[in-house]
Amino acid sequence: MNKRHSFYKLLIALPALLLSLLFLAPIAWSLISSIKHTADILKYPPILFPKNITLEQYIKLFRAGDGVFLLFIRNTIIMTTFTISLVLIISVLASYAFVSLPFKGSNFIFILILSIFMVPFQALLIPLYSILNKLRLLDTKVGMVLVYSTFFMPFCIFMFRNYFSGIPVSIRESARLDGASELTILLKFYLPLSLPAVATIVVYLFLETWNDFVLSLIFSSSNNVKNIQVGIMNFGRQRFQSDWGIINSGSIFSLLPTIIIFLMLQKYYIQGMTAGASKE
Amino acid sequence: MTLGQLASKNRMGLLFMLPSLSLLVVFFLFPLTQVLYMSFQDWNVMGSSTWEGINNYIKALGSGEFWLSLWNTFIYTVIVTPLIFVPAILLAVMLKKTTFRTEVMRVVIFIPFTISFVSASYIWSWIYNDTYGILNFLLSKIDLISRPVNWLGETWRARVMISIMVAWKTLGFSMLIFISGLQSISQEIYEAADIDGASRIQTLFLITIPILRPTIFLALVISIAGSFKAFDQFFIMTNGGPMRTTQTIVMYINKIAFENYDMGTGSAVSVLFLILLLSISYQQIRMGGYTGE
Amino acid sequence: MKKVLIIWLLILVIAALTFAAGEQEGKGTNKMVALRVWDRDSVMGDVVDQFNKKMQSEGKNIKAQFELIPYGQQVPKFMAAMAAGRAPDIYSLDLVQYPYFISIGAFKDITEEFEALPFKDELPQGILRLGKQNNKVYALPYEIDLSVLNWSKNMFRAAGLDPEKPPLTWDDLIKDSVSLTKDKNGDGNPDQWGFAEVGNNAGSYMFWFMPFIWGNNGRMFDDNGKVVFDSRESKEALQLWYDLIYKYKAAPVSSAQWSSGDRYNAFIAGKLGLFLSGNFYIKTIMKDAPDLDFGVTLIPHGKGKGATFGGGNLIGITSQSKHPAEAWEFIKFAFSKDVLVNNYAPKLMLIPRRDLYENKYYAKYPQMKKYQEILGHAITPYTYKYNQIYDPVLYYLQGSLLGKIKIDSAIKDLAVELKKVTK
Repeated sequence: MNKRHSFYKLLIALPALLLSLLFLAPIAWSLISSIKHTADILKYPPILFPKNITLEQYIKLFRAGDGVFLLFIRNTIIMTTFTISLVLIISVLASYAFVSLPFKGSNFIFILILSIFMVPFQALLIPLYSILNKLRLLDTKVGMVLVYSTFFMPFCIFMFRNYFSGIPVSIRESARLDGASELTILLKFYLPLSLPAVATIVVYLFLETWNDFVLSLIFSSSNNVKNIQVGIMNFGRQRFQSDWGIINSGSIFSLLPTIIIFLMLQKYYIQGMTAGASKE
Repeated sequence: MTLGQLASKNRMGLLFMLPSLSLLVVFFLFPLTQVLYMSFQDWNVMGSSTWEGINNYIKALGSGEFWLSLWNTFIYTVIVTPLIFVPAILLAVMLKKTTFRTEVMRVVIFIPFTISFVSASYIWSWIYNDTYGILNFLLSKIDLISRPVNWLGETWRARVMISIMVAWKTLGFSMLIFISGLQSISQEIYEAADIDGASRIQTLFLITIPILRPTIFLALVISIAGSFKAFDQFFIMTNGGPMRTTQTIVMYINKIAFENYDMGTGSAVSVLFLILLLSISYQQIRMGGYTGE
Repeated sequence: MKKVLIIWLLILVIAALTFAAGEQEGKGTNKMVALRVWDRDSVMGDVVDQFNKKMQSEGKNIKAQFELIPYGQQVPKFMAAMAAGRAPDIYSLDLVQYPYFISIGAFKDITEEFEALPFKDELPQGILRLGKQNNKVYALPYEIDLSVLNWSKNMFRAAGLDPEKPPLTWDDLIKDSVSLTKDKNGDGNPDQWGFAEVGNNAGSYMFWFMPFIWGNNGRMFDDNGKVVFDSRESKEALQLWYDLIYKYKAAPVSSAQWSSGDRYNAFIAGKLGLFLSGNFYIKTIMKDAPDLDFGVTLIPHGKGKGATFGGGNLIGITSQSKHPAEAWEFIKFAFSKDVLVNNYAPKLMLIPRRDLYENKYYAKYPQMKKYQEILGHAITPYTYKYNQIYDPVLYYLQGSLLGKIKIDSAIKDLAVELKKVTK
């Protein structure tokens, strides 16, 4: 039995190791390229393990346009934070209503919200631009946050609705009998039971907002609103060729916070899991 | 419950929905009605527009390129979906228990998802290049290929190679959804199955996947909608070539609207696309057992 | 969990504060005339800064704001902005877009202002033509791009060719490409190519393939805009490209799928000897491959003369601009000697005024001398429907180079499509 067990372990561990390598290889290649001197990046045969490493490409990224990249980082952090907060609040509220306060037509609203997910952004570009302009929200962070929230909320509402409908009806029935308000039921019972969903959604929203390119490109003009991805492509993409140094260093740089967020939340996501299970 | 209570409950529900409802109306439904309106117009963005009736729709449906783009998008979806789901489910089953090793693996597999599609497409088109790309270099080093392969040059190969890139990038996310689904399955079911002497594969197909069904459908809806909306990866890696065979429907919309300056037909294709995708998703959601609660 | 909540609240508060601070910055410019300037090239950002300094020192209340528009987004963003009535005051846009946008009234008539310019005859007339309509001027050539051939002297030496003798005719091109194509490691596959074709982008076929047709006395449109593409001259040019891949095996098949960046990377990596190039690559080649010794020459010709595509940007004032007088002041500034020579010449970008080519920055590079000469050969096809011809151009030319469409029918069918589009 034991022998067979360790054999299984090896059988699982080996492909796992290979698989990890496979998943990391493209990023590793990008990382390696980002610490090469400009002249070495495009050498062929490719230099797999550069002897002289340099931070040149990162310095180039941060120096481009008089150091405006730092401003882009600030903008992105602000917009991401607000989008996550706003979407969490509105989607928890809406999902709770869909599950435990349904009314005639609420299912139809749910389908409408889901359909946001189905529309390619390119189709809505021109009318959306006009509306933002009329509301004086074009080229503002507030406008960006609202647009992000609209386009990213369907998934979150779907997810929460899913989780909430798995929570036994008896919980809210008995709370209602005790005279608890709907908001209290949501905050005291439903939300704590849905922490894993919260973790998944925070990760999702963070990535979508942090990595957004097209929306920011079209709806922002000033440096006070542009985000990191637009910055990288502005500096890295020229008309007929690319500055691979900047594209690589930019990609690696913008990857770091997303990995950190995921590492942080991975823990809570497990904790939330066990907490949810023990209450049942 | 009295009638008054019921009314207040309804009002409460509406109140809870109000924030998302306002976003829905202002930033989605309103622009959408404009798209619908534009699809019956001929408009060059400057000045006034003229009523075209259903001419734009006739133009769109009568164009071979529309059907070709639709077909390309469909084929891509068919290729990429199993490439994402089969490994994602297997990995989720392998990594559902939380130990140090599985946590490390989860992070590793999830990392590609954290890169933006634009960056990933550039990095991979560089890797795939047949003359100076590292993939051909490595494969020829270990003698797997005798001549450089033109990875993005042929229709089917390009479709598969781009799908591999997309699977690499997104399967970590689906895997996470599955793990969260798996962890909510009580351990007793598995213990019971173990006592009954079920094999691992039997457990997978007879217990895990059926219980995971709603989760799988959730991930499917997201993934298929994403595949239908594919744009960046094809735009950057093949620009629709060779001969428009990797041109997706969204690239087609982009082309009519912003290359041919024909907003009317562009809007008509958008409307058709939306109807199609909505009906597909609706079917999926119904099959996943999400309606009728 | 509490800790996370506290951190979260903290971030929110800080973000809100900086948010408020940021919004405040934007105020206080009420009295200023704000000019919005769009360009796809970041050098314009420096020009804008210098303009603002000048306005400040002269005590004028004009402030320009620059926005970089990525190449691929220059049309969508412009159309969205126009639809919202919020077009920039000044737009430096790809010249081929002008005929259409002028025809829908997107740009302001600047004929009078243009006539008063002392250097108006120094602007390249062939390119200016795209900014004119019905004898009125709407936009002026600003940043010039010309298509040329670069050759790697390093690879010429290694192949035993004279490094100072680039290919001038199609025969030279074939001969040199064949000698430059080599299988160095003996695995039966070339790992270094003589020539590479222009790949997956219609603009590239216009920019680099059309000069082959012109150099063979063929054309796409005649002077009246009629399609005259279906000709022996066009077929011979396409046949040459086809043969370079399949008959002489001196160009990779895959290059019909490459992006321009791919071709550039191959040249830099020393894997390509003859590189269909443009002035915009000079500076980057020197930076990316300092050891690469290369020359600039006209695109090889058939039975005609060597030709080049005149591309680049025109600059114009949009009809939605609320400050056309101030916008013209900006354009005049942008065309001044100091601005052009000190901002564009050091980056080896081509400036629109021919009277300024004798400057200290160009003088340092022999390659730039060649460009001055080449500028006289520039041709730009004129059509309202430039974007609409892109799609068939790519489809048929790439299709025939990939061996999927016969050359004769590719040219014939493309001509039919062109007629349909430009009708």
